[in-house]
Amino acid sequence: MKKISILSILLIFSIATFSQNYTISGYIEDVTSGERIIGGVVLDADNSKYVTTTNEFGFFSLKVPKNKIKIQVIYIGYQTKELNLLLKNDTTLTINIEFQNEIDEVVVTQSYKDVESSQMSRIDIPISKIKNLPVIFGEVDLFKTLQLMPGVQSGTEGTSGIYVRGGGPDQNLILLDGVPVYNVSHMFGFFSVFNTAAIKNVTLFKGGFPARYGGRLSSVIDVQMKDGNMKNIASEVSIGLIASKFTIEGPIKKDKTSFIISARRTYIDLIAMPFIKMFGNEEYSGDAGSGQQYSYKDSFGGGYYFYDLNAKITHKLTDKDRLFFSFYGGKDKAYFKYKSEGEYGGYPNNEVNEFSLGWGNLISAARWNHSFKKNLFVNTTLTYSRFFFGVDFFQNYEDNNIDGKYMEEYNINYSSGIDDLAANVNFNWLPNVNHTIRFGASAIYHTFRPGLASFSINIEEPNMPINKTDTTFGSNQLYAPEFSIYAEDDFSITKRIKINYGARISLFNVRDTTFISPEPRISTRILLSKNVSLKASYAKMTQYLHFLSNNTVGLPIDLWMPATNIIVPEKSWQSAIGLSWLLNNQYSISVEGFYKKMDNIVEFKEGESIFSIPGEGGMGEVWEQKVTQGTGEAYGAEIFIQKKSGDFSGWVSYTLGWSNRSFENINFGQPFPYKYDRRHDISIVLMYNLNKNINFGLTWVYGSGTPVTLQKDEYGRYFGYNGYSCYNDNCTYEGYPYYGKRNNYRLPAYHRLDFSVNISKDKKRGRRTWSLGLYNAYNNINPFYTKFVNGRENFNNPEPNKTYLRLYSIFPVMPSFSYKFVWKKR
Amino acid sequence: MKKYIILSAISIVMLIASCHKDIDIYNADDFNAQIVVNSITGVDSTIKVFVTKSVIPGQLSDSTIKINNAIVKLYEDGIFKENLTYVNLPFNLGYENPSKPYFKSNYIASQNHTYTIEVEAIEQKATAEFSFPTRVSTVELLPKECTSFDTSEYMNSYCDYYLNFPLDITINDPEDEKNYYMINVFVKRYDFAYDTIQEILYDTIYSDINVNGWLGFDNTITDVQYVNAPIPSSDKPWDRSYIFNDEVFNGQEFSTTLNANISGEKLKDVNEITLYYQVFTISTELFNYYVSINKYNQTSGNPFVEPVNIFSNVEGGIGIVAGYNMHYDSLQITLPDNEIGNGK
Repeated sequence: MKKISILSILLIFSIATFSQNYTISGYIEDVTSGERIIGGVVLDADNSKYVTTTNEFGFFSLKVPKNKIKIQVIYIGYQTKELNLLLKNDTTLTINIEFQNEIDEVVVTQSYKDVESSQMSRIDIPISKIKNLPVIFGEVDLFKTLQLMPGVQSGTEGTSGIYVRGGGPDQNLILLDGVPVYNVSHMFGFFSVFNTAAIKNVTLFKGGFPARYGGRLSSVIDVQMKDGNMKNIASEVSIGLIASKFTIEGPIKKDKTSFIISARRTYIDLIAMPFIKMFGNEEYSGDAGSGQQYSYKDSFGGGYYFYDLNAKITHKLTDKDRLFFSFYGGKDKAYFKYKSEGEYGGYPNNEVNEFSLGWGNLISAARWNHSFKKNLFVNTTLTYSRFFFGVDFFQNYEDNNIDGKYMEEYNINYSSGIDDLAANVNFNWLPNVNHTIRFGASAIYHTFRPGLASFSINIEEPNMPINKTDTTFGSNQLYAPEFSIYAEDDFSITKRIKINYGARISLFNVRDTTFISPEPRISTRILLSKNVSLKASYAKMTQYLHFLSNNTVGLPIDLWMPATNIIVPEKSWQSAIGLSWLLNNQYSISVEGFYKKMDNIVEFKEGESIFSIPGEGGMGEVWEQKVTQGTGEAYGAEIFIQKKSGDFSGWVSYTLGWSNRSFENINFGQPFPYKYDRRHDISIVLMYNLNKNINFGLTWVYGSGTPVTLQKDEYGRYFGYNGYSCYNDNCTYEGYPYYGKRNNYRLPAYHRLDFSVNISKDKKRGRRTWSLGLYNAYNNINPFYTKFVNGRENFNNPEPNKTYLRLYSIFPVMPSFSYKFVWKKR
Repeated sequence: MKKYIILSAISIVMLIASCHKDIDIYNADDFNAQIVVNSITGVDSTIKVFVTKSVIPGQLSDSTIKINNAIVKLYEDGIFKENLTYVNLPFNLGYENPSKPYFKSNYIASQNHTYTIEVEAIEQKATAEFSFPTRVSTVELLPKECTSFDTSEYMNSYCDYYLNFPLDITINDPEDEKNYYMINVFVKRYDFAYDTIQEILYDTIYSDINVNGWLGFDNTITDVQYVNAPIPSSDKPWDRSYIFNDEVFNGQEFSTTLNANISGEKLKDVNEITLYYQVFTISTELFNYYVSINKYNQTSGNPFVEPVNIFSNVEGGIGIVAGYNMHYDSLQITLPDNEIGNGK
């Protein structure tokens, strides 16, 4: 609390020193689409001291001490725009800039963002670059690109889970237009829910978190959807191996109201359907003896699909007001059906089995942007986020005979999820050129649905009363309000020294227990030279939501549960130090070291898992007794070398990391490596534009082996079945495994080479692009799962009695292609 | 065209075949076997210690784990008492499996002492300590005060009859110490290849009753079960024991109801039944061992659960060395006069 008081005094004192000058404020927009530009640089061309960037809504405010000024507006991929202004009063502008592919202004933007900014451990992901990278199944995936960044590690082979600086997948605050997304997985984690066709901007924070973000321990991934084209109708279609998507955007009323709709669906089920029909049906008949004839017709069906839909409407109320309505809806479903119809001895005999598993997210936001005056911007948002998961099982068996009808019918449904209803308001105030102040508040009402099952049985037997059971069991909903306020100031103390300091105070209430967490944050930057800066940061974070997940695979059945008086909130603090260097105006080099301590992190106790049956101490009722809390520690160093401009671009990232966990009840109380502790992690990404129409992409990744717990020894348990004696010395024994320490073995290193080429051509109605790719080009066996096998299972093995560890890869060399067509804007 | 089809087929086969690879992680040259020591001893009895060694997974057999040249020493309160004697009986009458060798003390272990077992073998030394927990002071087991049993009898598809009835059990828990309990309740039976109590295995009252010989318990004391005790289930005898700690009733008289059931084809022919019950006090180590072995049994082979390490308290080796104390008694129950219990 003391730290926060000091920070507050510093904030007030520093603001009081500003002087009155001219203020230029407004928005930067793409001239062709009207899309607002995030992170655009506005600066005094004669004095780079006066510089600012647009916020996440394209708003900027620059205070200058003179009335005659030449300002430059710069953004990667766009022509630099210069404006000569003669200021009589404070001025509000909307500045349009034009997209131009071959430019070098990237240097200025990069310099500002990477070297001059007080923010560290932040990476902006260029969406246009993502689309040129090699992909699996021809489906561009945002999270797979994030996995190529330093400090970010992938989870299981091929999946989209990310682990930032030794943290867990639940410790990432993933925001879509400011709304938390609780499950980002499609297709059991192989793809993320983010459709890149609808995304404008992605920012990743790994540390040095600004006070405006909170609620998770390890990272913030802020994904902004496109606003929609204000000027022209634009559309594109993309057809991949397993999914297709269509996007259309344009003005509802030109320069006033725009929309964007982007939809995506897989067609694995449709591709598989003819094969299932071909092989899934069977008819058979015969003589069962005693003159009884039987005949049956069996049919199998099943499949999997996912779909998602992004939509957004943007409306300009006035030059100072904008309204946004954004929506995301997505669902995954896997299903199976078996049906058998026939007769036995002339009596009908039928059976039906149906099973389905579904999960998805529903997200919506209504937002109002308003610039009150030249230097105060406010964003007010109402959001709703829902994650749902459900399993349905139905079985009907009907058997008729001479006595009458025998019928059994079972119906089981299970559902779980989380709902968030939230409101937040964020102010962005630029009192003078030395300060950018943000403050705000948020309120979230969480509703946890930990698992509710309904179960019905209907049994009918000849000459017997009908046996009916219809019951619902499981846990009740849990409600938890969460409030937070924050303030931060990005303060240029001198030309060389800049700090971003602030604090966040959050409050969480559940079951009459209230938690309050003050979270101080500070980042500093010292310019060592024009192109080199030294940065350091400290951030304390609190997480009120626990994620109950099994340890080996990621499934939607994993549960979000609130902190309680028994399982208290998770906390972390992280400090980092780094150097940011712009070399030869071409290469951005960042070196960072970090240390993160995590407290109260949650893990299942030994022998416990998410698969507990409601009603027998199901998760919802007793989850607090199935988990344990402990500590985590992560530290390491990251190197990130980027070249963003020119025909030849890309990056190299290297992470040296350690991540350990310690729980009183696990591993005999001794620390053990986290399951995604990875000593070395390397990503090399190269992109080359051969000409306007052809570009190449190449990715190579390497990661040290994942630690797993494998049996070390086997031993005999050598006494009677009751455990304390043997009968007449007749003792039996059974073989038991000895594992020793948790995560005692490291699987072989992970490495993979991917390659892609995009070939585009202008057509009469637009531009088409063929993308060809090769995933895991040299077919390395990267384990997805492992099991022990006896040597005799491999007929080439000279030692058939030996036990081997078999590594299974689900993605050998995988060619892919996709087709995209972008219609000309109308 | 045919050539392309063949080439494509070969490519697909190679691709599928290349989706896995085997790695040799158990190299015999690098493997270091560990001494395995197992000994669970009741108060006022001799000590029996099983000494073997661990092996590479998949290589377990009588011969591979055998150690016959171990030196096993017994210490009482740190004072050397004796070297234990190697016992290796070749076969047991009527059984296929040969007896497992063990080391036996002549010395009687008693309450209020700490015993140390020290084993030297395969150029290693392993030690473990144990002592005996206090015997439970008061135990009462009574048919629940009701006068009629819940004889919700019915025949299942195996023509077995089931008899369900509740039993009240009361334990006086000592204060100032952490206590762990294990309760077994059973009937004597005709013939069963394994049972929990050796001395009564053939001492059968109902010689023609083919019962399972054990009682199942409902989750009637869920508060306790979910604190630390495993849920009695599965097909392992030690799961049929009811194991719990005194976390929620420390220092108090603890009463609960066990919902017992017995099954058997000839159950309808009896009108009286004798229940035998043992109330053990077990050491912390033994409790942890039973809990871990139960967890292991419940989760073995489950890919969604981290492997469970079976509890070991042997320093320099693996295994469990522990002591227990036991209250043993019986209870005769007259069955109500109904279709099952009236001897018809």
